[in-house]
Amino acid sequence: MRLFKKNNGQAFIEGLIAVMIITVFMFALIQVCIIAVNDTLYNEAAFMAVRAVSVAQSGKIRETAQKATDKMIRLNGLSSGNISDSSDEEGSKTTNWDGTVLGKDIKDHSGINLKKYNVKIKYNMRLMFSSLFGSDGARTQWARARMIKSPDEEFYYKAYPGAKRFVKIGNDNKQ
Amino acid sequence: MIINNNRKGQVLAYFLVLSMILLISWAMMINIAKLIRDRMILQNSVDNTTFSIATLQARTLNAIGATNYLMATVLSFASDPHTPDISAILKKLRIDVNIDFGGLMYPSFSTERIAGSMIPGPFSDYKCLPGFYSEQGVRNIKRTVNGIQNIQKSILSAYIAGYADIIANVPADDCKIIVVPSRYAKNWKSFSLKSADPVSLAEQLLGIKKNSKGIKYYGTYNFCVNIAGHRHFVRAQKSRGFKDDKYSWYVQDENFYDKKIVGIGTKLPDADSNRGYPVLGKIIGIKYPPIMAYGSAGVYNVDDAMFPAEENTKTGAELLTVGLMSKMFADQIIVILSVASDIAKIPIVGPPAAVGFGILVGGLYNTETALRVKNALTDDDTLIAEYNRAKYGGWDSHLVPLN
Repeated sequence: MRLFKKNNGQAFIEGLIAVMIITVFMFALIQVCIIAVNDTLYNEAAFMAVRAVSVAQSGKIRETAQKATDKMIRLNGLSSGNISDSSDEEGSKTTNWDGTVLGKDIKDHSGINLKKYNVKIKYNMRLMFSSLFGSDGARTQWARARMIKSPDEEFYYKAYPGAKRFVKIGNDNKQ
Repeated sequence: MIINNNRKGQVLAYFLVLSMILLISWAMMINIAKLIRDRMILQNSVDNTTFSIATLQARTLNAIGATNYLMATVLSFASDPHTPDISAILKKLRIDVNIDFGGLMYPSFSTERIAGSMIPGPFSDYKCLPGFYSEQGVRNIKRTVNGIQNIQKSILSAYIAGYADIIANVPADDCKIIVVPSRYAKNWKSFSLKSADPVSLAEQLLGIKKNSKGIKYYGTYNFCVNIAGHRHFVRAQKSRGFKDDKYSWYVQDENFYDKKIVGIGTKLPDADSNRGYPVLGKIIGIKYPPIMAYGSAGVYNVDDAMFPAEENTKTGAELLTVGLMSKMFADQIIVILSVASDIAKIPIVGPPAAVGFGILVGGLYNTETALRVKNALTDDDTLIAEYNRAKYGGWDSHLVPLN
């Protein structure tokens, strides 16, 4: 028994369903691409920040991590507005903490424990078309990198006790 | 009017459009991911290369420092035969005469006068043969010193070879990296190659130079007499068979303090591993930009510099070396006392003259020897003292801030 005598619009309905499925599928894949690209860029920012932290003076770890992260985020064309305060203290956008290396007390020549440092960047991104589903679409992601601090920070700027400081780059051989 | 009643493929156009968008998204993801990956690989390569060269530099400085010390130790065995310093007393009496007709064995501890060793053995020219000139011992000292200098040349050549090897093999494929001392990093004009010789290049990069004070070698003329017993005197005589050394050990050059090195890495768009990238680049008309990365490492010693800051002739001495010289010191005292006893045999004036001689010559010998030993052991600017201050720290390497 045929319910509908006419088949006008049948292809339209078929097409509509196909288009909807294809559209959702395509945008889902595009969303994955965007997430992957963001992840790569923020992780590189974390890598460069922890690299800067590994040679920073002990009292300037947090500040260095912050500055390096901001710089890299700008360089990578990202918005620093996406970064959340990820620390309970001081409202820092990057967190770092120190810990012993592999759980052991490894000391440098100056008798100071070598530490490992983490830089974690907490960033937010918004999923596409989330409002259609009654959601704010906010997605929180983390980028992180870890490095052991370079030992003997007393000698980051000079070679031995009583030596002059290293020549700065481009300083034309002058102090 | 229906022109085309076949509705098959009407979604295809839409599918193609979305596929294009998807394809471009994928291409963007792959291109950015590759660019970031390349940048991280380049950064790691620069850090690894710079740190490897700093480590090589630290090892080279330790090796050169240790061979310097070895050279100074061999030279510290040497003697400086001369007449007890009566000239100093005469000068106080305003008689300016330099008297050195030979006499006793003094320790030298200075490259100004290097004669056969104070310690018995292959370096000694103290031979109990009448009228016997010997330079075999000092020749052996010279051979040993020159051998050590040749080892230093080999170490410095190996440094340049290692430097080139690291630059060639440590960086990842297609990453071109150069590593230079920070003083040359941005201002290339300040770098001029003094010589094509790898040893000179290594000296320039390490900030060290040879001590131009040189080493002056002397043979020993032995005056041995056996009249009332064995009496053995010596005199330094310029060596006949070989020349002095123009240079001795390594000291700091003016840029020695600048132990920071900077690595500059680049990866060019036409690198082999970029072939086929960026994805869809030819269609869209984009190319990868050249990427650059910087890194820096430092060489440091937590205790001291290990190399003397100034050129000088002072070898310094180890306590053990001085201990080994004690037999020679005792021999010289015996010679003085024997001569005094010979003088004492002269009728009437003999005994008081012997006492006077013993006090004067023995006093002069002991004072000068003690002073030389004390200075060699306690002076801060001798090579051995410099090495001993720095040896426990040793040269080491670490990453340092770029600026």
